[in-house]
Amino acid sequence: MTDSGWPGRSAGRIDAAVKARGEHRYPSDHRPAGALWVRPVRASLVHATISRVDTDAARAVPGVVGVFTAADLPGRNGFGLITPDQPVLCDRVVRCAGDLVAVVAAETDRAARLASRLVEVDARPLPLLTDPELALRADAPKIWPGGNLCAELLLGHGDVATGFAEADVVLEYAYRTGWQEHAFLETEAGVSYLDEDGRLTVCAGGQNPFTDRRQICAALDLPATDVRVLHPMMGGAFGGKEDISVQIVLALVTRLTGRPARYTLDRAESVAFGVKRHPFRVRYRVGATADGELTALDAELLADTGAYLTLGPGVLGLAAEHTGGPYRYRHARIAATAVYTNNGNASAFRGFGNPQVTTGIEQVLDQLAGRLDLDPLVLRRRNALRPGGRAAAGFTVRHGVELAGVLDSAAAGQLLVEAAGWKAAARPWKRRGVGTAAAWQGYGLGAGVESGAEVSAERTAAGRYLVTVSCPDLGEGNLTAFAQLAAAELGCPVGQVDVSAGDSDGPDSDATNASRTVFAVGNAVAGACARLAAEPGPARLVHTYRPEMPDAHTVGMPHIGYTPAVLVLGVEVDVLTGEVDVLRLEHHVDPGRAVNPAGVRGQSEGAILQGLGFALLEDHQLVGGRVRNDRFANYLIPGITELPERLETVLVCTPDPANPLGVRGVGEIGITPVAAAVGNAVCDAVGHRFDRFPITPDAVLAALDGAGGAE
Amino acid sequence: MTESLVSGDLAGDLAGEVPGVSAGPGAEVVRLLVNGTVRELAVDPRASLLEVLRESLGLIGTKNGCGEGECGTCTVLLDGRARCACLIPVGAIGSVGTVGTVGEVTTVEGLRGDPVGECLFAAFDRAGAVQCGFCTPGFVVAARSVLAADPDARADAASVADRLAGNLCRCTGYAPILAAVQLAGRRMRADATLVRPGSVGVPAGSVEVASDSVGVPATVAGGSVGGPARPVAGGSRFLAPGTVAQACAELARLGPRALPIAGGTHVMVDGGPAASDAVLVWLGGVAELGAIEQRPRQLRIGAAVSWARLRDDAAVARLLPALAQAAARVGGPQVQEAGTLGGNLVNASPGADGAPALAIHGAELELRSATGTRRVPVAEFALAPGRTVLAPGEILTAVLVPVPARPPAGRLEFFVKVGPRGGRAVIDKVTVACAAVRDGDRLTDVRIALGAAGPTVLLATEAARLLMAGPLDADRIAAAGAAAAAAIADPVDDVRPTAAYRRRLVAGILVRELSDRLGVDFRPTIRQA
Repeated sequence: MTDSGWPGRSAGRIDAAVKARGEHRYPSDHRPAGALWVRPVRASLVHATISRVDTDAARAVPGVVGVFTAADLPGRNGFGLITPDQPVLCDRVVRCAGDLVAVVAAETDRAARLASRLVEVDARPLPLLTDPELALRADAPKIWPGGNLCAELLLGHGDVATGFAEADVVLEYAYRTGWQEHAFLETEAGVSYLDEDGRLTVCAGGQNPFTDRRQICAALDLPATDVRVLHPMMGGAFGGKEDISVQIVLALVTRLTGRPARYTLDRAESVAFGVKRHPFRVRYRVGATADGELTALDAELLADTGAYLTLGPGVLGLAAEHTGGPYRYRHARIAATAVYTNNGNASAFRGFGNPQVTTGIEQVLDQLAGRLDLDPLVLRRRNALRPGGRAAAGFTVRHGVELAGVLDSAAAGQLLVEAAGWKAAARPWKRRGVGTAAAWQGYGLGAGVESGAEVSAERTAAGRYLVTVSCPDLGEGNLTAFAQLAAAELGCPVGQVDVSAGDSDGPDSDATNASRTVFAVGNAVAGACARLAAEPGPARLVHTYRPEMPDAHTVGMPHIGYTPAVLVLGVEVDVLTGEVDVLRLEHHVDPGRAVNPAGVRGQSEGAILQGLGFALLEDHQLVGGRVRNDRFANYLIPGITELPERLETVLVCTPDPANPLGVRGVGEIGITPVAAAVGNAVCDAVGHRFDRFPITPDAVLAALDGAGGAE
Repeated sequence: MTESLVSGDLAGDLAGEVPGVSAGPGAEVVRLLVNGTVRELAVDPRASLLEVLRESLGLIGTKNGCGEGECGTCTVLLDGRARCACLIPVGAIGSVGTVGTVGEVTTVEGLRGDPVGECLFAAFDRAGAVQCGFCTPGFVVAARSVLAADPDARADAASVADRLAGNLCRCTGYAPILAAVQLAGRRMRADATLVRPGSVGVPAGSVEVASDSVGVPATVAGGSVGGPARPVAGGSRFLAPGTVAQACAELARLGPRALPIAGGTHVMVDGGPAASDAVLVWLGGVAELGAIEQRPRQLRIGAAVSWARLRDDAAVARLLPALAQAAARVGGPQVQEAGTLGGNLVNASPGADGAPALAIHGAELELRSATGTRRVPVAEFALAPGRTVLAPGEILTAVLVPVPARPPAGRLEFFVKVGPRGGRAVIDKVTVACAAVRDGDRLTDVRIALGAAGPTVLLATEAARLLMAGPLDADRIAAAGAAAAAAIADPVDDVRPTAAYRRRLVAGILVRELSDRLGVDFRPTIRQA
């Protein structure tokens, strides 16, 4: 492992060896002695009233130790990150296919599975609501007594009618994006047990041990001190492990039986019942003057949040915040709505609403550039938000958005420079196109939500250093970044620093999400270690970094800063098969000061491939509230053969003025502009623009063939 | 290094077997060779190798990502070749009872201390190829077999990627993984002290037999995982007959409880039959079923021959190029090693690649039971998705393909599959297989078969007739494409594509392939928006 401190050298990851060698125990690898196997029981209907759950036959299966229902919950039968509206175990109503009505705990996996099939559930169907556009009609089936409105926002500034009147060109674009499945390679998994002091401990894949603990304690009616939550390094999350999955039912089983318990979701279970990206239906109307000044933005967003609130209002809010892109409009209006349906359960997924809205505006701008005969990058530069400028949603962007650097980098990049020649070299049944898209992504949680991070730093008697944070490693490499920051402040080799993460017994660094950890927790680590460096001998101290957040315009906005990027990509469309291959790609991104450039590239490229899936391949299909394709065989994520021949990440590093380290979060920005760039490139190649994502080969062929355009 | 609670065991984590996990009513004594050590276990021989590795042996480096052979996180080496452990019943690779040799299993744990393994670990670290790391052991093990197959380690990016197409990653975007494998290859070339790659695992049971008339050695090899006949243990849930006669006798005896299995890529999905009463009748130990035999004017392919062998076999490449091309795209390498031609045909998925590749040669299938033998043309074998003409107690034993003594000059043959992941996905695809002979400006002996275009394989006879009816030009080829499309009457119910899409696709593929290979100019136009 190369030794490297700050700034910006790419130290080897401190966790790479244990993972590669198969030595690290992931949440699904723990096997406490005597652990009971936990299996879920679900109703066979998507939306139904439950009148009876009969567990007699299940309990009679040899090896079954317990079959538990809502009646067995000591505390609150509800959980949720914002509102505890989701039952741990349903006893009155099920609202989506994934709802649990019981759990089985048995000595063997086989016995648990057999018993789970023997639980009898008397359920009467309720009418299904699967079309979000019908959700707010008076005659729509009610998912909740109060109706189907989850959240709504009306944001903007000025008067859009005036703005459109001032425009020389007005463009409209309406489109839909689909659910996306996180497809982390390790499913939701964990174990629970009583430790040597008899304290209930849950060790699972999750993104914040404190929010997990809070919800476990409420359900089990236990004080926080009686429960410990551990999040080991896990096999991916991407936002899909923020919400409770296995944690409460595991804790319940251990609490009621005194035995350890283990539960790993099957892949089909995870794809069918785990949370998903919100599908959005968006309508943009944009006006501009003949020389390319944006005069008006009118946007309508409709998000389908599924059966439960989860993080729906947050996703809607962040989407609305970013609607219109990092640009100035003379007038703007954003009407955003999230509704309940029986379509599964949607929650956080990398990008958090922004990919869904960026897909649209960046295509509109592309179209506008064509109409006005302006270079697409020049059009964006002309309208970029400057420090103190007003976003379309109406809030002030204190430090502006550093678009100029990434725009310049993209304009000078090989892909654009070689575009004409590259396109001309396509074989007769292929058409090549090049597309660009810009994006901004707020890092950290937004105003009113981001409270910074608490960490501890210790110098041991042996002269080693221990940095303790609570935000877990999901795979993104934050622990290595913390070790580098610590080593730089302490003046020691990175190898002398140990990092402990994911323990609710330690300081509260808040979650690993929202592109926040290098920013919020990194600044806390640097601050703690700077203080520790001044202390002699063995010492331990706790340090909190509280960022100077802007005043809240509304909950969650604005963010303290925004990471800018421009994506340029080249596609090749096979006009005989409709297949779209992304052959070349450049990601120009400004991560602020890069603690670990290799880590930034890793996040960038991984997010981009996920974005390619979102744009072209991943088609999560629900019919009647049930997932049709719940396997990796029929929900296709990008494989190694989807890797573009040329994939380059260009870092344009301008220190961010909003935090002492000058860093920006980079976990999400990579995924956000991909679908728009693909849409623009495909349009460049074949002259058609599509209004459904993913863009599938059959939609492409239908458009090329003249069968009435996109289906 | 990192604190124990981040990366290590919990106090109370078992190091070895989880008691009772695979024992129970189906448990038998199974002897396995894992990482160089013989392990004797009481497990259900139908249990997957993945479950036994993790729960009985405590080897948690091999991961469970999907249970269906799609993600590759459970990749192990079996006799040096990458396989998905989730799809292997342990009875197939271990000795059950007291008799039989075993296949050698290498897990990621077994690569620790192996010089090439250590080289790979270091390269993955160095190249930034580890993020969440859950896929990494599977990739490292798969890469080990890549480097073993390429002794000079000169693998280029495209062929390395092809060999890793059976492994998924969600974090890294793959580029650093490719870089890591190539880095390891370069280091191996540069370091003469590194043990030569072939030393990890030796393919078992290969026997070379002298040829007959054509001067090409006929290869008779023992099944996909090898092993001589074992006595059929009464009462066992896993039977390994040594001959076809024995297999048929078992099927007759057991009736509906019998579950014939070859490669396991279908039967073993989601843990297989281990929770049920079914008796696995494993065909991998029947030497005759694993043989590729060249006879005068016929190639006889045993039903249990794997796609990997079809892909690599010189006689198949020379005489049945469509079949060899099909073999190279049936899923990733792990699935190619396991899946068999017979299993593909018997499973009778609308997208079964074996059917169109064989239908263009008028192949026949040999079916045997305790009461006799019969032959069925391949195009008549599947009746509907998942249903064939196999009667109870019958086994598909061989594919018989009529072939000329040597391929004619002017032979044209191809197998093209269009779909996601370069056609390797099981869904949303269409296949076109074509065989013909070019004679000047005309085509003769044209046969066209379509896969995944209807419930069973479709013969595009009208398209073939049109191609033979006159001199070759763009119009004739276009008409043939349209005729092939028109042959698609009954859409396959798949995740997405409609009949209209499949028709367009088939027409387009046929026009492209024929024009390109015959040197007929074509420039498709598209409707402008």
